[in-house]
Amino acid sequence: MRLAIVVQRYGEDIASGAELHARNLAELLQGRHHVEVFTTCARDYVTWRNHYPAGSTAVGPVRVHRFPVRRPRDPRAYGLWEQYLLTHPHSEADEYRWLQLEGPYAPRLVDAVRRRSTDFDFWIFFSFRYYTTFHGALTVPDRSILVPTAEEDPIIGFSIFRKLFHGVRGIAYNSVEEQRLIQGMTRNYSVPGVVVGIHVQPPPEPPRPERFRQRWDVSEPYVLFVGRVDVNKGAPQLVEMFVRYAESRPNPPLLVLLGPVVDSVPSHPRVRVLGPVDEQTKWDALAGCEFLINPSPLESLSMVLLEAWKARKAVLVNSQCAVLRGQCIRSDGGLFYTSPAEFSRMMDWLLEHPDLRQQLGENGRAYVDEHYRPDVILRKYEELFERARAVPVTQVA
Amino acid sequence: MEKRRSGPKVDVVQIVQQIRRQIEEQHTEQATASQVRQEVRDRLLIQWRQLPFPEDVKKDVADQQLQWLFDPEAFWFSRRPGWGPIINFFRRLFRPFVKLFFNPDPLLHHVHRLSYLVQFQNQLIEDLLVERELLQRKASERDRPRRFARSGRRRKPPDRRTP
Repeated sequence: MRLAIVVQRYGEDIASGAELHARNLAELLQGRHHVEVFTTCARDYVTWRNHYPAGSTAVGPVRVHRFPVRRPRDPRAYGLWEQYLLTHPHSEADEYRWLQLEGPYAPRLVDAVRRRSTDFDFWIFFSFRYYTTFHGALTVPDRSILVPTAEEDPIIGFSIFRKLFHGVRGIAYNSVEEQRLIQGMTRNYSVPGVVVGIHVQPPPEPPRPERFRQRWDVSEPYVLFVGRVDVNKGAPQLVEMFVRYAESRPNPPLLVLLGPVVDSVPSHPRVRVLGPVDEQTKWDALAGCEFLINPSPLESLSMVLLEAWKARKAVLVNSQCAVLRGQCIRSDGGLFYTSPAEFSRMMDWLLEHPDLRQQLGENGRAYVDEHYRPDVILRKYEELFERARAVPVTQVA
Repeated sequence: MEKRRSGPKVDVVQIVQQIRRQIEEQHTEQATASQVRQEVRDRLLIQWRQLPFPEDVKKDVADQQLQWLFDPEAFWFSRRPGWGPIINFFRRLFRPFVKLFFNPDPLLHHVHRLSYLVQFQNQLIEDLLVERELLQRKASERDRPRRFARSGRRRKPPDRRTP
């Protein structure tokens, strides 16, 4: 089968959720099908400023076509316009303007999708909220598969997205909660959909926790956060709660944060912010931690949770995020807190029960092995392609 | 996909419920007024963060722990680095000219007063919630031994839905 993947950014140095998901999927599908990626020249997700040269290149085993972003995003104008739309009655034209401000505004990419529409059996579009996905998917509605990566974000209620969620040939959801959210909002029950997610790439070499401890001088037990240190990911709130916890306990563990720092967090002797690290260091850190904490209030699928379970580690997550809570309940692989008091008690519980913590990690591992193996993901996508072929496209007026 | 695995050895829902029960029991026994106040503030902040308001507004207000005062000078004053002092100079210079057409001062004064009123109401709501919480805890503490003695059964746990 010939498959094209359209994603807002693509590159080996881009490790954000949806983009990493797209790269993992492209490399997985490449083993059985012919895959090409269509993307922009952007690397920065805030401004979409062109960084990579336009044209065709190879990233790993996959052929990648890059198209320039015609106008970088003005985050201020975009933010103000989004706020206005979320708080005022508005027209569809206003939402199209929002979509253009959101970007990445790369009309040449959409033109390429139109020009080469019949060269591929299916076009897989990543992240519902971007200009390239919306206009690209509706350019080839009879061949488009959407991977929405949707969170509980109010913009999902924009009326233009009803067209998108009804107008594609199939949808690969990341979790049952995401499927419920989108179907609840748009009533697109007739569009074939399957809950897939993505497999976890194994570490480059077997993890060695002592290497991480030596390199970063971490000699004490530690709990781990992996991801963007960002308000949207709940990192400052986590540090705030952790500091309160650490100050009320005689021997608290360290909190180690790995990932690019977007928002500053309060400094404290028990908190270590290490910044972005390579894949191997991440796996070394995961292997050595007591457990992983994910405080994010919004996720469509947490890949780091799957990675922690792959490393047989228990997790502690923010219960406000239905997806994280659902993943913990389905796997029996972690606990979920709703308040700082619960956070503290669950920290205590996890630290005081090493055997049960180990069992949570084993449950998580079994869950990942059952649902997120590469062959399972591949089979589900191929089933989706078959189902999508059989169902006619329904367009919403 | 994503059915619950068969025969798990640990049930996280049960563990979470058990921890929540322990917190509740401990709270009724030990909580001091200041701890209760902190919990009430945390709960208010969580509620605030869940509201469908613009993210930057929520963040601003949450960072100030739901305290908010409007400074009328903010209307005229620019903090922009570099150009700020020059802009401020011209604004001061032309302010009498602007006021020939309309006078924003009464409006600014009113918003300033209102922000104090909002502050007072916030404080009042927080105090009332703290009072209510303390009373509830005292009441449940007082009731518990009597119920046990009369019925000989354990108190039924509160109806918590699976989260």
